[in-house]
Parts: sequence; structure tokens; C-alpha cells
Amino acid sequence: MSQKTNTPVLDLSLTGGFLVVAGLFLYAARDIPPPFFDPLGSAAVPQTTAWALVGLALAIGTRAVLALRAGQNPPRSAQASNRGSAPLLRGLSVIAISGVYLAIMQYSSLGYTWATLIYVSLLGSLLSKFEKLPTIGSIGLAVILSFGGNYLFTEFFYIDLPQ
Amino acid sequence: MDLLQAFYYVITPYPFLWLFVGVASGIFVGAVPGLGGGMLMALTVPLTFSMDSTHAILLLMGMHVGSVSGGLISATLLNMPGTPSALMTTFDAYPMAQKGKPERALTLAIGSSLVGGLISAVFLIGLAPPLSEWAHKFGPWEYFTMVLMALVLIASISQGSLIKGLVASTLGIMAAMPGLNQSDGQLRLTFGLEAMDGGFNLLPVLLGIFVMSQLIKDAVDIDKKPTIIGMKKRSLFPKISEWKQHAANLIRSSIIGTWVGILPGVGASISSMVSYGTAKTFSKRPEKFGTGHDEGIVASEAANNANAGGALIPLITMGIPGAPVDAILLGAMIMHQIQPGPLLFQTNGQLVWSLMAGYLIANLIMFLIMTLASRQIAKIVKINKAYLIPAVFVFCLIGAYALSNRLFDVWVVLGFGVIGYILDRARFPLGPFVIGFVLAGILEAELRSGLQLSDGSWTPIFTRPIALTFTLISIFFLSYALFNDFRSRRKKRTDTIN
Repeated sequence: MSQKTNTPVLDLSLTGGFLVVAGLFLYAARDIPPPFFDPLGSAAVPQTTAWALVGLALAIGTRAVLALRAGQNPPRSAQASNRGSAPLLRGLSVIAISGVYLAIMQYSSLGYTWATLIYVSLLGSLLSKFEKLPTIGSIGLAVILSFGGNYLFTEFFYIDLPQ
Repeated sequence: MDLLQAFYYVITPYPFLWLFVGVASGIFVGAVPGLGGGMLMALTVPLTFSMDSTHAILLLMGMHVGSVSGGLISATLLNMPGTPSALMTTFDAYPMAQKGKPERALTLAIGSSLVGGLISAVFLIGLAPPLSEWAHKFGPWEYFTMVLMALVLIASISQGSLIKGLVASTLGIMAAMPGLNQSDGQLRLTFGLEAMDGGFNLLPVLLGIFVMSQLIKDAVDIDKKPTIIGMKKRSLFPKISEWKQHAANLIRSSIIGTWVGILPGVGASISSMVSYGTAKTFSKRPEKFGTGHDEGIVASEAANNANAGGALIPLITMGIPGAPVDAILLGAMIMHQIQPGPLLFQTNGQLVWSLMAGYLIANLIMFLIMTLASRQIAKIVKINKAYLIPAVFVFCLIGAYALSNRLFDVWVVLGFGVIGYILDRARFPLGPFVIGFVLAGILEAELRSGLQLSDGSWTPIFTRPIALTFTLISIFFLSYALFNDFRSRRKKRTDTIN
């Protein structure tokens, strides 16, 4: 059930993030007109939840500060230290490449087929560290998902994919 | 349509085919660590738009049943639960497999899953109609307090810190706030973005939280290569004589799983934990638990499968998802113009009886597939994630884009995936987030209706018996969780001093 925090640094960073989100909600809720046919109106629930988030975020932040002051930030395991920052970079690369994939379809003339061909080949090869066999496999998969996927989803499921 | 007709309907070729496809794909996906039923169901929902609604729900429910069971294969052979609900199974099934008896571990787990599923089906069929009748008495205050109770329950019972559970619920509610308010047509919190006028759609949020966050996690952990224990060609059909000694444990664990499932918002993982703990308490050999003991496997697997049936009860009767994965079923029903709740038996009798009959048959299909094909399924467990991650994201793109032909929804998938990953890394439970997001609309609409009826007075919460009961249950669970928090802190402090 409830325990002391095991991730005080991340919790403290998230506290900041939660306060920003709550602040944005409270700021935007000021523009909502007052209730005109019911006692509550459209602003009450967003405002209440934003204040609740402020309270909870402060509780998490306080707990994280206390844990840090008590020296509770758990040291990284030997295994995690050996792995270095590569796993995190890999996670970030998945987010970044996926973002670029979407941006290409949204802002350039490349449609689903070609964008998917590039995306799946690139990400698959990157995740398999450009080893020969998995890279070839990724390119094969990319061809199936891009050309095959486009045919299947537009012709049979009637989904108008980005062109 | 009644139950018997529903059974006849489900075993006709098309419904049966969809159910079979659902269970089989659920087992495959559940067996691969890092994939899960939620992911498969969220990806499948957009492909069901053109399907008959009963077929679509049968397909998705089959996936749910299959994935809960599929998780036991990797739990037994890899020491990695394919789905979170199979975590307790690893404690005894893997040690048993290591001792050279993987077939026995699988036989026990598959058989227990079947019994758990069938017992919960009996409860589902027996309890859903009267509960639905009872829910006819509900007004806005009863719904409001019940949704509040569901949020408190999931936040206080989910694993990890209570405060983190509450934060996740609050964030989920907040994510549902932007856009057009259904109660009065008021646009709010759109931050000047036209694309936000409709708010965040349910499907992209589910795909982000369930699928994208998992893909990022899989990419981070891609170097972790599991070693799989090999199996001999032996029958996995259980012997009836052997089951007699486990009868009490099976029935008890199935009942625990079903009842925990009925509690709104509480998932299968909690069921198997409670049932495993109870089995250990009642066991004559509690010291054997965790070393490859039969009773541990039976308790965990009977409970997590029974949970799936239990969780369907509040979904069908009150429109409240019994577990985070049920939020996807709820979303799929709404997308197919079906509104779960007390009137469902009248408005969509065929669907609801077919769902119940289908749930029972899905468990039988699961048992047959897993008994006959576990050896083959085990081979796909080691599928290369370098192929899976980009392919699954492409399916996310297609699924989210198909909703309204706009890339904004796919950006939402990516955004909520990142949020989900960060929250998960900081050990915030994601279940309360999803339940909060799904229930926020009902919470606000019912509260506003209630206040309109009572001229702005909050007293009906205390004067209406059902609303008062739900409020008291919420207060009890919140106080209990806070008390536990206080007790565990004090214990840790005492341990540190000593």
C-alpha cells in the first residue's frame, strides 16, 4: 500500500510539472463564463481538481524533500551503472523518431507509405544496433507495413491514411 | 433473448470465429512480456468500427480473457509475467519449472485459470441481472457518489503510494476536462487550439497510456534478454483426481478474484495478490510458498482469471469499468453507440446476454488453445522487440488517425505515451489515470444534474441511503489507506531505530 518514496528526485521534478499544469488550468478556467442555468457551471470541476492537484503535488514534493534530506535517494545499482545512459537515449530516440515521423506526414508531402517505409526501417535498425540480419528483417517489415498496410487499410478498412 | 438463446448465438459460425480469434490473439499477446491485453484491445478497437457491435465486443472480450491467461506462459517459462496479473504466478510456477517440471506448472496454471473463469462466469450470470434491476433506483447523486467511490477505491488499493494513486486519478480527470462540455455546450480549457475543441478522444489517450508508454519502456529495456525453460512433449490435460486436493483453494481463490473484480476500478493484479496471501494463510505448508508450490500457482491463476468476469459486472450493470482494461471495453461500447448501465438489458439485451455467454465460452476456448498449443506459443515469447516497437507504433498511428482523419490524435498518443512512461517510471499507477479519464465526464454531469435537482444543496449525499452508503465506503477506504500509510511509516521508523 502506501510507502515512502523511492524516487525522490523524479518526484520533486514532477511536483514542479504538476504545479505548472494546475497553474495553467486555473489560469485558463478564469475565462470560463459563470454558471447560467445550473448552480455549478463549467469552471467549478476543473478548478477544484486543479486545487486538489496542487495539494497532492505539495504533499509529494514535501515527502521527496524529506527523503532527500534523509539521504534516501537510492544509489544506482551496479547493473544500471554498467548500462550507462544508453537505455534512456534509446527511449528518447523512439520518442524523437516517432515525432519526426508524424511531423513529416503533417508538414511535408511524404504520405503514409514512404514515411512508414523510412520510419520502420530506421527505428528497427537502430533498435537492433544495425546488426545485419535484424536490419534486413526491419527493412522487409517496413515494406510490408508501408505498401501492404496502405493497401489493406485503405482498400479493406476504408481508412483514409495521410497521403 | 435469454441466456440459452445467447449460447446458441455465440456458437454460430461468425460470433464463434470472432471470439476464437480474440482469445487466440489475446493468448499470444499476453504471452509476450511487454505486450498486453490492453495494448491489443486498444489497437483493435478502430478496426471494429465497421463490424457488427456484438461481434466486436465478443472479439475484444475474447482478447481480454486470452491475454490474462497468456501471461502465465512467460511467467512459468521465463520468470517474467506476460501481463502484470501473472506476477504472483512467477513466484511458484518458475521455481517449479526450474526444478524440471514446467509441464506440471503449466497444467496447474491453465486448469486453475479455467476454473477461475467458469466460477466468475456463474457469478456474472447470476448477479448482473438483479444488480442491473437495483441500479434502476440510481439517481444523479447515487451515480456521483459511486463514481467518487470507484476513484477512491482504485487510488487507495492500487499498488504504490496512496498519494501517487490520487495524483494519477486527478490527472486523469483533468485530462478529460478540455473541450466542449457536454452539460452546457461550453468550450473550456482549449488554450486557443482549435484541435482541442473536441478535447482528447478516449482512444488516443488509451493508446498513449497503454501502448506508447509500454513501447518506450520496451525500447529502454531492449537489452534484457530472457532465458526460456524448454518443455517436453507431455500432455497438459489435468487429471481430475489431482484437482480434488486443490478444490477448496480453487473455489476460495475464484470467489476472491470475482469479488475483487466487482470492486470498481480494481484490477486482476490485486486479486491474485489477495488470493495468494489468503492461500498462504490457510495452507498447512505456508513455508513452501515461493519455492514451486502447487497452491501458490492455483491461487494466483484462479483469482486473476476470475477477476475478468467479476469486473464485467459493474461494467454491464452500472457502466463503471471494473478494471483499467475494462475501460477499453467501455470505450468500445460507447463508440458502437451502446451505453452500458442499468438500461443495457432492455436496450441491448442480445449484446449483454451474448457477452455473458461469450465470456463462459471464451474460457473454454482459452483452456483448449493453451492446453494444446502452449509449447508452440512459448516459442514466440522471444520475439525481437526491434521489429515489434516500430510496427506497433504504426498500428497506433492507424488506429488513432482512423478515428477522425486527423494527425492531432496521433500526437495525443505520443504525448500521453511520454506522460505515461514518466509517471510509470516515478511509480505512479496508471490504472487510476485511465479510470479517472473515463469517469470524469459522468462525475461532472451527474454532479451538475444532482445540484440542479436539489437547488444547489449537497444534503442529498447524506439523506439518500444509497448515496450515503457509497460515501461512507469511500471514507472508510480512504481512512484505511491513510491509517496503513501511517502504520507502515511508523514501522519503518522503528526498524531504522532498532
